[in-house]
Amino acid sequence: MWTLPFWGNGKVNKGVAVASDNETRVLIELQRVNKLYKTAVGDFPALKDVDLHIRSGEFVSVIGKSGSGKTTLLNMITGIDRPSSGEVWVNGTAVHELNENEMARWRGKNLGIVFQFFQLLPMLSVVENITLPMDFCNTFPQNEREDRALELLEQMELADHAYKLPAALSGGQQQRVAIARALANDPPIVIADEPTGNLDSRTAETVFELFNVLVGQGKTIIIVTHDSALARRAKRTALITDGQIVNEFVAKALPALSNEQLLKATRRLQPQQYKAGTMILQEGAAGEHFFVVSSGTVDVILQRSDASDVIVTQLGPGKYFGEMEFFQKEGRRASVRASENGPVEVLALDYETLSELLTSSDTAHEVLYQAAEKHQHENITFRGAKK
Amino acid sequence: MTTRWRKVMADFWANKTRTSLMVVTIMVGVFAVGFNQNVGLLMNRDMDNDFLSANPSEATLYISPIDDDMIGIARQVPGVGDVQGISYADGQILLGERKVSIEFNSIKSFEDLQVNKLKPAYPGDTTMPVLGDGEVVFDRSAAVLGFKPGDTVTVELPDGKIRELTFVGYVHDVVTIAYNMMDQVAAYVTIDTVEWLGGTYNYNKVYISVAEDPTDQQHVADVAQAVADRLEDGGATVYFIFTFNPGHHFAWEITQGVIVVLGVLGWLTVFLSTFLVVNTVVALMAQHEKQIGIMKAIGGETRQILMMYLVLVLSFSAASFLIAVPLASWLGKVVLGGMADYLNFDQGHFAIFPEAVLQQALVAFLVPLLAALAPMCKTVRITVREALSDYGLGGEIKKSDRTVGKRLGLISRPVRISLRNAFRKRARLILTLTTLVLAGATFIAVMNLYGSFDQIMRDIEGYFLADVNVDFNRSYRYDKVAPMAMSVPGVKSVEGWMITNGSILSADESTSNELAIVAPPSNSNLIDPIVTAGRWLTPQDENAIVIGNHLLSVRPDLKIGDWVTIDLYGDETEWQIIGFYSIPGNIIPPLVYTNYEYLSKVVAQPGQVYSLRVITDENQKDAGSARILADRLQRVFDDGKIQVGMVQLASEWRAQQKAQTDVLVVFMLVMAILTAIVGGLGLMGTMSINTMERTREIGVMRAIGADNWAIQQIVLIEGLVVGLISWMASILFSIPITSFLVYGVGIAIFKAPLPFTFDSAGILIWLFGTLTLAALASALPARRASRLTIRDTLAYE
Repeated sequence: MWTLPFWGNGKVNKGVAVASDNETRVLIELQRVNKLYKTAVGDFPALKDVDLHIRSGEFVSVIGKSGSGKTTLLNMITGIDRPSSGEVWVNGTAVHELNENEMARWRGKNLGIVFQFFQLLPMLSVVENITLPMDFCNTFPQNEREDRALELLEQMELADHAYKLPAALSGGQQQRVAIARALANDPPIVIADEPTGNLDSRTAETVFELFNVLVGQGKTIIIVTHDSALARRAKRTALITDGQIVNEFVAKALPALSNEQLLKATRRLQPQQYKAGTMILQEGAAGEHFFVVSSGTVDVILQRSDASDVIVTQLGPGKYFGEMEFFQKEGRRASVRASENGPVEVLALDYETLSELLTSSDTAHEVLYQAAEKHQHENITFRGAKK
Repeated sequence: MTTRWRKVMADFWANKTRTSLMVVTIMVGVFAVGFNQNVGLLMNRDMDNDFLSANPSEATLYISPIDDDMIGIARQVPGVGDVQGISYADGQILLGERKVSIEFNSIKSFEDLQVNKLKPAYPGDTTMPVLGDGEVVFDRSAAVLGFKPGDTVTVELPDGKIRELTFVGYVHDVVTIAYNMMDQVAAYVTIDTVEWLGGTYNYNKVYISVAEDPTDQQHVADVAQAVADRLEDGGATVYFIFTFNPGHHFAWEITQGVIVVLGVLGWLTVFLSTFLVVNTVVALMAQHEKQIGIMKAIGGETRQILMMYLVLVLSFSAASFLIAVPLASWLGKVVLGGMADYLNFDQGHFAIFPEAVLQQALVAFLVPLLAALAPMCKTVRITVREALSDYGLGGEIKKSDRTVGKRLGLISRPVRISLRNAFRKRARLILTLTTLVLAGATFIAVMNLYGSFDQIMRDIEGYFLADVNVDFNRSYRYDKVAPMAMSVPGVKSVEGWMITNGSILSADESTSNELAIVAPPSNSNLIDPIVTAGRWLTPQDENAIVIGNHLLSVRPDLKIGDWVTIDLYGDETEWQIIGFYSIPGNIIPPLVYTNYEYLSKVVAQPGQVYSLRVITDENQKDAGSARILADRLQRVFDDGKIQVGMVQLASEWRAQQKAQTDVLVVFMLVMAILTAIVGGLGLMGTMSINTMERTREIGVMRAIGADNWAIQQIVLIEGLVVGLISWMASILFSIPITSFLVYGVGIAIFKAPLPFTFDSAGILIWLFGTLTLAALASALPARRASRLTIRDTLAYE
C-alpha cells in the first residue's frame, strides 16, 4: 500500500501551515483503488492500490508520463470510470457504489469537469452550453439560469461572446467557456484533464490563473497536466508513474532520481510516527536509515562541548536527515527529535535501498553527497561557533 | 424552452444533410403507404360513385327481339330492380385503311334510360348532345379516334352495306368497357337509326338491375336466369346471359389487384425504411456518442438524454409526415386522374382520407420510434468513458479484426483495407445488407412478375397461335373461305375453327352455365394448351371435351371421366370430360374444347367454319406486314361478300392484353424503384457514418502519403463490395417474394396463381442498379473523405 501525502512546493514547510491543512476536511478519498483494463495483449493495470486524500480547498496537480494512469485516476474521482477494486469517496458519497444515473446526477451537482478539447456542444451557443448543466440538474430556477450563465461568462471575461457558437471562439476562449460550464451548478470540486494541453503558453497562463482564483473562492481544483512548470504552481503535485503515486516528500527530497527510482523508493518507505518531543535519533547511535519528514517538524539537535543540547535547525515536510551517516559510515552525527509543536511522521528508507538508488543515479548520488558534505561542514561550523 | 430542448431543435436544423436523409428515410415509407392508400381509396370511391350513379345493370341478356310488354313482364320478376331494353347492331367504322368495331345501341332519349344511364361527357358538362335520326354519339373513351361534332362517320355493316352518320358528340358511359380496352366503340343512336343500321325496332339486348345484393354473383345469376326463363316462357329465345363482376365497374377486379400489390409493396417499403431508420438512427447515435458522454459528464441522466433523442426522432417523423401526407394525397390524385382516363370513370373531388392519414401517422411516428428505441437505448446507456473513448484507456480490440487482411494476401492493400472496413461494423453491415437485399429482392421479384406476365401471355398465346384471326358473323363453308384466304400473298396456311355457344347443365339439370365450345380441327397445330390433368384431344376423340379452370371455378364438382350434358341450340348432347386445361385471365364465358369434326356434325354444319386461323409466311410476321396482310384479307372477304365480324392480329391482341397488365407492372416498378431508393439511401447513410468514424484513420493515411484517389478508392470499393454482396443475397431472397407476388397477383387478377418465372434480366438490371447505387452512395462520402486535410482529421474529436 502506498500512502499518499505528496511532495510540496517547498513553501509549506512551516509547522503552522501543516497544522492549517490538517484542520480542513478530506473531500476526496481513494482507498486501495485498483483499475485493470483488458486489452488485446492482456490485462493492463492502470492503477495499482492507490490511496489518495485531497482536502477541501486544495489545488492539486497530477503529473506523469503518457499512459502512467493520470486520466484513469481522474476518471475514478469523477465516476467516469469505476475501480476494479477499492473505494472512492467524494464529498461523503461512495462514488464506486453509484449506478450510471445516480452518477450523472451526482456528478452534475458535485463536480465540474473541464476537458482538454473543451468538449462544448457545437450546436449550442456559449450561454446555452453553460445553462445545459443547470437544466439537466434543475439546480437554479429556469428564469435565473441564463443570468447565472452570463455572470459566469462575465467572470471569464466572455460576456460579449455569450450568444456565439463555440466554433466562433478561440481555443482559450472555448476553454474558459468550458470552465464556466464546469462552474454552472456551483460544484465544490472542479476537475480538469489537460486543461491547457491545447492552448498556447500565454492562454494557458490565463486559464491557470483562473484556477487560482477559483481556489481562492473555496473550490477544490484537481488538474492533470503535462506542463511541470504549471504543475509546480499548484499547491500540491501528485506524480503518477506506472499506475502508482510517487511519495511527494521523497520526490522533494531526492529530486534528481528518475520517476521509476522515486517509485522504487516509495515502495520501500517505512512510515514512522512520533509524538511531540519524542527522540527519533540519538547522536552517536549506529544508523541504518535515511529519513524524510512527511508531516510535522523535527528538531536537529547537537551537543555542545558542555554537554548541553542546542536545536540547530528544524526540518519540515520534504526535508531529510540521516544522509551524513550513509556516506561517512559512522554513528549518528546529531540527534533528531519530534518538535514540541505536534506529532511527526517520518518516512524511513533503509541504506541498502538508498545505496541501490544512488548507485544507479550519479546525479542523485552527487547531489546528496554534496548536501551531506555541506551539512557536515555546517555542523562543524555550528559546533565551533557555539563553542 | 429549456436548453436541452433547444439542443434538440439545434440538432434538427444544424446538420441539414443528415436531417434530410432522416426525413426522406421516414418519408419513403409514409409516402408509399399514403400513396397506396389514397390511390386505393380514391379509386374505389370514384369508380363506385361514378359507376353506381349510372344505376348499372348486373346482367345482360342477348335475346331474340322483344317489345315493351315483354320488358314490363321482366320487371315483374322477383328480385329485379329495373330492366332496360336496348336494340343493338354491330358495324365497323371505316377509317381509311383501318376498320374499328362499333356497337350501336338504341335509345329513345338520354332521359329515358333507367339502367346504365349515360351522363354528359366530362365532369362539369351539364348538357347532353342532341341526338336525331342519322346521328350518332360515342362514349368518350373513343375520343382518341378524333371525331368532332359535325364529322361524318362512315360505317360498314355486317352485310357489307355502307352507312354514313353524323357525329354529334360524346357522352360518358361508365358501364361499358372502354374503347382502349375493348377495341370497340360504344355508340348511341335513335331507334330508327338502329333499324337503318340493320337492327330491329324491338329489343335484342336486355339490361337487368337487381333490387338488392348487386355484388352477389349467384344472386344476380339466379335473378337473370329467372328473367330469362320468364321471357322464354313468353316466347323469346335467350341466346346468352352475360354477367361480369356484378355490382362493380368493369375494371374493378384489375384495380383491386393493383391495390393489393401496391399495398404489399407499400408495406414492404415501410419494412425496408424501418431498417433504414434503424441504420440511420444507429449512425446518428454514433455521431452523438461523444455529445452524450459530455452531457452525462455535466449531469445529464440517461432518461433525460433518451427523451431528447426520442423527441428528435419524432421531429424527423413530424417533418416526414407533414411532407408525405399532402404529397401522397396529391400524387395519388394525379395518378388516379390518369387511371380514371384510362379506365373511363370520372374522378371525384380531392380528399384526405382519415384512415390513410392514420396509417401514415402510424408509419411516420410509431414505426421510427419503435425502430429507434433499441439503438437509442443502447447508445444513451453508454458510459462517459466509453463515449469519450479516446479519453484515457479502455478501448478493446477484437483479435478477429486483424485476420481478414491475412486471408486476403494476394489482394492489393487499398482493396484489402476496403474489404476489412466493410466487415468491421458487422451489425451495421447486416442492417445495410438487409435493406439493400430486400430492395434488390423486391426489384428482382417485380421483374420476375413482369416475366410471369410475359409467360402468361405466352401461355394464352398457346391457345391462339395463329398470326391473324378472322371471325365471321355467320358460318361459311371452309372450302369457300380457305381458298380466298390462301389467295392473299403472304398467307402460308389456314385452319377453319368452329365456335358455338352452349350451356352445361348441372348434375340435377336444374341450372346451367353458359360456355363457348371451341373446336379446332383434330389435327390442328395452332393450339398449344396447358393440360393440368387428363389429356388433350386426339383425332380419334368424338364426344370428348377438355374443360378449363374457368368452368371448374363455377363447377368444381366436375371430374375427368364425367359425362355431362350440354345444351346446343336446344338439343341436349352428351359429352365426356377427358382432360383439364388451364388458361390465365378472365374468359367469359368459359371455353370448352372439342374436335371440329365431331362438333360440326352435332350442330349439323359439317364443313362450315366460324373462324379462320391464318399463319403467315415468316417474312410477314412483323406488325406492319401483318397489318397489311390483315387488310388484304379483309378486302378479299369483302369482295367475296363474306361477312367478317373481326380481323385481329395476334400482335395487336397481345398488345391489348399486355396493356392491362402493364398498368400493374408500371405501378410495381414505381414501388420497386422506391425500394431501390430506400436501399441506396441506406447504403449512403452507412458509408457516410463509416467514413466519419474513420476520419482519424483517413488523416493517418493521408499523413503517410495516401492521395485523394487512394482515399476515394478505399471508400468506393467498400461500397461496391457491400453492393455486390447484397446483390448476390437479393437473388436468393427474391425467390420467396416472387412466389408471394405471383400467387397474390395471380389470384387477385387472374383467379389463378401466375407461373413462377425467374427472369435473368431483373438480376442483371439489379446488378447494374446496385453497383450504380453503391457507387453513388459511396461517391459523396468518398469525396468528403478525400477533401479532409490531415489537420482536420487529426483534430477530429
